[in-house]
Amino acid sequence: MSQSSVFESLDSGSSESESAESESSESGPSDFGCSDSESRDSGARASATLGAPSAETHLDGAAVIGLGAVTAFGWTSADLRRGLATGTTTVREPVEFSTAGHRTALASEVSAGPEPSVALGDRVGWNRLSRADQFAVVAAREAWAASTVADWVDPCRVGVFFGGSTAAMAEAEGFFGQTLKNDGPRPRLRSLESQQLNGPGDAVARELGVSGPVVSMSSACASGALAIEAALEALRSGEVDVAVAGGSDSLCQMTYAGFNALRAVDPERSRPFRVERSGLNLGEGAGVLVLVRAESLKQNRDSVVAPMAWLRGAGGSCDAHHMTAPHPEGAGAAASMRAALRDGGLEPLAASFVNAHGTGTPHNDSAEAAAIADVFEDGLPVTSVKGAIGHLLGAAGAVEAVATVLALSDGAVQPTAETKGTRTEIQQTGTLEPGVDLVLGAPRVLPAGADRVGVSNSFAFGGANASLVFSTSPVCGPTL
Amino acid sequence: MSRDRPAIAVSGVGVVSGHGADLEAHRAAYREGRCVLREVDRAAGYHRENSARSASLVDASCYREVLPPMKARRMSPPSRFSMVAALAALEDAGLSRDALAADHGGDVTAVVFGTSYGPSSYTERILRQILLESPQAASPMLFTESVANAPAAQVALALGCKGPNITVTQREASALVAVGQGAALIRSGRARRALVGGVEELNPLLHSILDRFGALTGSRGMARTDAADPEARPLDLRRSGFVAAEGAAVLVLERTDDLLDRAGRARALVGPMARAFDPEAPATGWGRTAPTTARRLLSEWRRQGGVEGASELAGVVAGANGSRRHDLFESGLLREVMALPSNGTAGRDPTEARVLTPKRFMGEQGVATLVGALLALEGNSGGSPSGFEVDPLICLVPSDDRVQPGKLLLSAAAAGGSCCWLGLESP
Repeated sequence: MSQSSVFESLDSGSSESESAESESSESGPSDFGCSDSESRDSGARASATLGAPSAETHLDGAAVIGLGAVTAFGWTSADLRRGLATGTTTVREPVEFSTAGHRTALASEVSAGPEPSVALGDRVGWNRLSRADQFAVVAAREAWAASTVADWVDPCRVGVFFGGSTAAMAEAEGFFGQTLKNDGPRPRLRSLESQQLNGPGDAVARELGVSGPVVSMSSACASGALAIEAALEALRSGEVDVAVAGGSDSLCQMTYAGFNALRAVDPERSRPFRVERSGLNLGEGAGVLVLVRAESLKQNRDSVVAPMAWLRGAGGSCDAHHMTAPHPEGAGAAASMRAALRDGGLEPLAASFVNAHGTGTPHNDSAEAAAIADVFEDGLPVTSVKGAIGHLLGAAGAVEAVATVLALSDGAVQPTAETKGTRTEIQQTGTLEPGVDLVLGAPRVLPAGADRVGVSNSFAFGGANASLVFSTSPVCGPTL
Repeated sequence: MSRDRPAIAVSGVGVVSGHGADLEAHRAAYREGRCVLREVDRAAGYHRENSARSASLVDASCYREVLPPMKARRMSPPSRFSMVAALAALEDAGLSRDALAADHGGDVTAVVFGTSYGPSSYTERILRQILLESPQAASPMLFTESVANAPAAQVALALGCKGPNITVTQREASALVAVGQGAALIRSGRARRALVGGVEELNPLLHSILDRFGALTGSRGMARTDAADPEARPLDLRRSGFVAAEGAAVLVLERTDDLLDRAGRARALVGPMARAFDPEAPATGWGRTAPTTARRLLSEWRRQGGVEGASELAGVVAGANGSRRHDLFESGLLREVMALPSNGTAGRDPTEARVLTPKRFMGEQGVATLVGALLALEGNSGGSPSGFEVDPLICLVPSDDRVQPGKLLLSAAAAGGSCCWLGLESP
């Protein structure tokens, strides 16, 4: 969608949104230099009975105006875009991360990064950052620069919402290992400075110099998606005008050994949704989106870059079934997808594809396939990036949100990395999870000219589920 | 705040801490203003010779009847604390597991917890297995219970809560942010009810690290005697650090109309939440002053419907814990709402609002602010700090008076720069 058509859509918005804009423009800056704009009233949403469609649909989403990613394909979202399109995998024996003593020896490892002087400004000391912090900061800077919001936004009105599962655990393992040796000098406390679950989000906020809310979430593999959901909530409520949302995680001994102990890791390259799949491969990296309120988009139309997509809705649920196994029929996963679609005012029929959680573990993929079959009509394209870049745990939801936006803006769904057999062989031998139309071999081109909707899933330990719905237009598809 | 937005009530509270697992014990401790300290096990050799020795630790025997060892055996300590607090909160709210499950199959109940460090003892144990034995010695049970969201997941699993399940990890601000996030889920219609709160576990390794950072009352780094660690002195000129603590508190949040329908009782109403960040703060500490951050907090607080000035507040529940840097930084934020000059005149209670410092009786854990606020709204008066000495750079004096019914501002300033204000008010 072109920028002019985006603004035309915004201009033809509901009276409610115009009212919100009017209130906002009247308020102006506060006495304190922090703008004090009025929030859009979310009362209509709240007054709807849970489970019933929300009355609000139009302009309720947030525009995606910047992307950043660090994965084993490289330190930019362009690297991720190119890599995913090829259908190849980055899973191999890692170089810097030691798999010695573990049952398996594969991972998707981020290679040496850019020079600090290239990657960073002066605000954050690169060498004081953990690896997870570095991923987060580089991805955030890419997204921030692409968004150009620094030209117009009040730093007080920018929030950072970040997910992760272990933050700087890799560095903490070094500290603890040295502590346990007990035969030399005590390890330096500095190595623990970033070992906080809020480390990556805080580092991003410090680097960008923003002073709106900074919220970190750690709900295992759903962390990144939940952080993006929290960002959407803050944008809708008017707490922020711009949100920097994402997630970051790095490989560490604890998660590598832990997933091995659970026998959830494939000793070979993972094969999401293939019947012969036997587990996941771990990965590392970060994904970041810069999101902006529709009202801010209108007010700064001369400065804002054209949205790449719209975050239309977000939803969450909990299986409440088992600490590590998903509900076998995917009940929680289906509830999560339905909640996200409902939140965006969309019918399941509107969906163009699903970027699945798709870990490659037997239980997850069968449960998710059942959930997708339950929510959507047959034949909906499904893809998983985890065969290509591994499972990024707390960052997975964020990087997959980036991949979903890229698919929407490119008009093509990235293929699931093939590791054995050609697409034809796989389809002919019937080795795909029943009911899943997996995108294989080459990107699946989405119908031209139509508005498109992508659903991104993240499911976590403890049954925490989160789904995000993105679209190419602020208003599109069969709405509720 | 728009009048169309549903009002959210706190209908139940459960708490477990060094004071035990029942609210009455916390009432008594709040009135006395005393913190229960226990000796930290230093046998693992993590501590320096002259380290701090004590902390406010949970005695597991206090909840054995509620959560028998057989049921707790696959739970990390923070999962246990959370379960005990959640069960007590449900009972206090007049709800049961069956009632939750019967309500839309549990789909309407969210769980939002906050934690600073997550399950630290299980993390330590699995790392010992990996680093001292071999990676293949890692226990799958320890691994699944070492993740930060294990407590929220265990509570949802046990109580059949199938709504959104979220764990906030923003250091000292985690619990307040979790309450605000839970209220937002209800206001936006994503949940109808939420179990919210926070949980912390303090194992010897974490205690020793906090000590090495010089954060604890007993960790001044000087030659020491066998004397007990000094008490925490929030806001006091002579403050030297905080008392490390563990425990959990869980609140049941509901829409007031739902509460009316079931003839339930509101303990408090949830007010606005304002959040901000100090980008100049060091990664593990607090900046010196943050006027921009303070202005952002106050601006957002008022935009959300918060009061204009201290005269409209029944009290301020500070996160002050006795840390020199923390308390100084937080006082700078609070002066914005109190409209005090930055170098205000020292003296007894120079503000129009009561300043409560509940971490004096519960130690440093985010939920202390929540528990203290709810006890204050019950009409309890806090115990007097002995020989308080005003810090001229802070000029805030803890109050031991009973607060009048009204609005409370709860404050949290997290290491690293994140800040949160949350409103609770009399029903």
